[in-house]
Amino acid sequence: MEEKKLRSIGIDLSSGFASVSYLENRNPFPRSLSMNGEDGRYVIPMVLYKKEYMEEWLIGDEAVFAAEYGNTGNRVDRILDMYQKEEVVYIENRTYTGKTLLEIYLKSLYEKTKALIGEGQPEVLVFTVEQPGAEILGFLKNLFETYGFEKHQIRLRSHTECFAFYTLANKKELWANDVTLFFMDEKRFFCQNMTKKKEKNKIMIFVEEEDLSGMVCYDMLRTEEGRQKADEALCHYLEEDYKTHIVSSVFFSGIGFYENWYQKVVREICKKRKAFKGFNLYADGAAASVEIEENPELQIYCEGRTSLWICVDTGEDGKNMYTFSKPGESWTDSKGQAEFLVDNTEEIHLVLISPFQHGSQELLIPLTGFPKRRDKTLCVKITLAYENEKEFEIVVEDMGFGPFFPSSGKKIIKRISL
Amino acid sequence: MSGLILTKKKPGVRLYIEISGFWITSMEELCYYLRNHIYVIDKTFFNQTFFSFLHDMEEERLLEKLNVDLLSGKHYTDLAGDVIESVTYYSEAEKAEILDEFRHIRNRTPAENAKARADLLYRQGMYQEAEKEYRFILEQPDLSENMAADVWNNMGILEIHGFHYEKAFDCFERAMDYTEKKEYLQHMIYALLLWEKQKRQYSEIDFEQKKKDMAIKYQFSEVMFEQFQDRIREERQRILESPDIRDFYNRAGIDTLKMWKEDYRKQEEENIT
Repeated sequence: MEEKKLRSIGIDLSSGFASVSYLENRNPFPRSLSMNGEDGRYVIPMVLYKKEYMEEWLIGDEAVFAAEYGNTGNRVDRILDMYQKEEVVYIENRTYTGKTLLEIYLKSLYEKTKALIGEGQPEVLVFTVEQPGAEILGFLKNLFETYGFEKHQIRLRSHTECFAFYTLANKKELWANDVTLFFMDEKRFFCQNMTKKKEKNKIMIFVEEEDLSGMVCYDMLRTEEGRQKADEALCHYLEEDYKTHIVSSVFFSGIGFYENWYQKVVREICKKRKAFKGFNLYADGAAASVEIEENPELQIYCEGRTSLWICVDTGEDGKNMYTFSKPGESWTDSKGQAEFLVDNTEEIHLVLISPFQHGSQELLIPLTGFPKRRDKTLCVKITLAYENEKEFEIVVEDMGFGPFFPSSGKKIIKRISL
Repeated sequence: MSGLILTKKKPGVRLYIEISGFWITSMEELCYYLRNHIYVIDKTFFNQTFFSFLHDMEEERLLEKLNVDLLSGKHYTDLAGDVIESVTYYSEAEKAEILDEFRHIRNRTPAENAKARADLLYRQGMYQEAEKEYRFILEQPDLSENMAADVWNNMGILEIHGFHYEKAFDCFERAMDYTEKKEYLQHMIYALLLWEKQKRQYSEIDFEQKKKDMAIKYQFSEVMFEQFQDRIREERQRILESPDIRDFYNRAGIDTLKMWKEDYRKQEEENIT
């Protein structure tokens, strides 16, 4: 019997909670993980509790429970927010930064996950957050290197991407037409709409977001009257929306949809569509991403994905381009590096090409300050890396030319906003 | 074509050029090396290490071509030409020029090629290797007088670098024996003066007599010795006063002097053996 292998673990890090899913080699769909056994509770509160006068921490529901009967001063909530805002907390006369607390939380979460799944190390560990950034990506890679992961085995994806991955991991009939996600938490209420377009042998997936916080918000749901108004407002929105496009499936996620206040909405949706409620949709999508992203037919364009070809024109009137980055990739993985010999030119021609528009945009990077050597003895290393989906950095560095000409150390760094 | 040429490199793959004492890491560097050091290398350059490098660089087609040429007994410059042709580093016009130069090398005598190689080694500061080449040249039959004179002169210069002024003097004298050239004579004078300064206190050689004999033999005034002595003093003063030399000395420090002493000691030991 073939040994079951763990293809991936997906971990959603949201403001108030985390959730975990995993994908096994022989199963096409990810499985959600409950920290308390098969109780159907898949959300893990983003809470830490330090056992009094010990170097031991509890996370999630265990932490909440322990804090109720212990010292509430040893409880820390919203760890991810603390990390992002660089806050500190004092517990038993010691200072703990948000970064340290997030490390403790994630280590404990990962160890519990491994113990519950009962298999070896996954091939890939995929995290998902609302808005990925280079800093948290670096933090996660460094942290999980200590578990023996190589940097390329740690990935970070946006929630929007994971919504797309989750949908695409389902049966095709669910995404035969458009797919909608409604998400509500204490801060926001938005709708994401996934559409697709077939082109030659590729399927292009687009996800667009609409902020609906002005129409309905979490605070409205505190009263019965508010819930009824919210139900009616959302129902009316859908009635108008469904006149403009065909929707196959609708997903509801976030704490705003825990309670069933939206009965009219469900009746409207279920006339011709399938509706689902799930709170670990993003973790499932993260776990499924390893399979979806390997499908060469699919190209995904949404928040967190690159939208351009970024190339260097190597000469011959634009006939030769070296590609550093392609559209439809996760910006966290989209990077490139290459070395070139400079041949009778004093600038680098960077070319940006959109797959959706004709023509291209050219940016010139003059080699100002680089040594003037005879032709083809100036070797430059060009490195491209994204800081986020809207910004990337290009570095041009003098590498010398082997043992014949040493490097001058000259470096040009350009940050470009799209 | 102008613009950028993507380098052919593989992570961790490099070739050690023993004769030159450095590493190269790309096919373009290899082409540059072959173009500018064709006189330094010979057929032994195309050895197993070289072929392993090409294999690691995934240059299988080039490897096949080289194997065929080797089996056909082709000249090493043909092999170098194969490498240069296979890489898009030089333009077609440049390649044609290089291959033409390589053809000229094949038409030269071994002594002429050895001389070019020795001169290149000397310019690179590889004095011991250069000396070996010069000695090889002197062993060749039918060596022209001009070539022999030039080689002895260059060997004299090498000896000057090693502070072996007596040997240098002998070499310049032998150069003059073949062909009396002003340049060789001037070198002889310098060598004699430096030898004198080095050995005067400890040697029984009558340097004054040597100078007289030299002036008679080569028909010049003894005053020239004073003029050359003045030039040596001026040059020494200039070097001592040079800010570059002062800075270098300050930077280098005692450790560098120790390193030089060690290198010189090793060189002397090799000369003795």
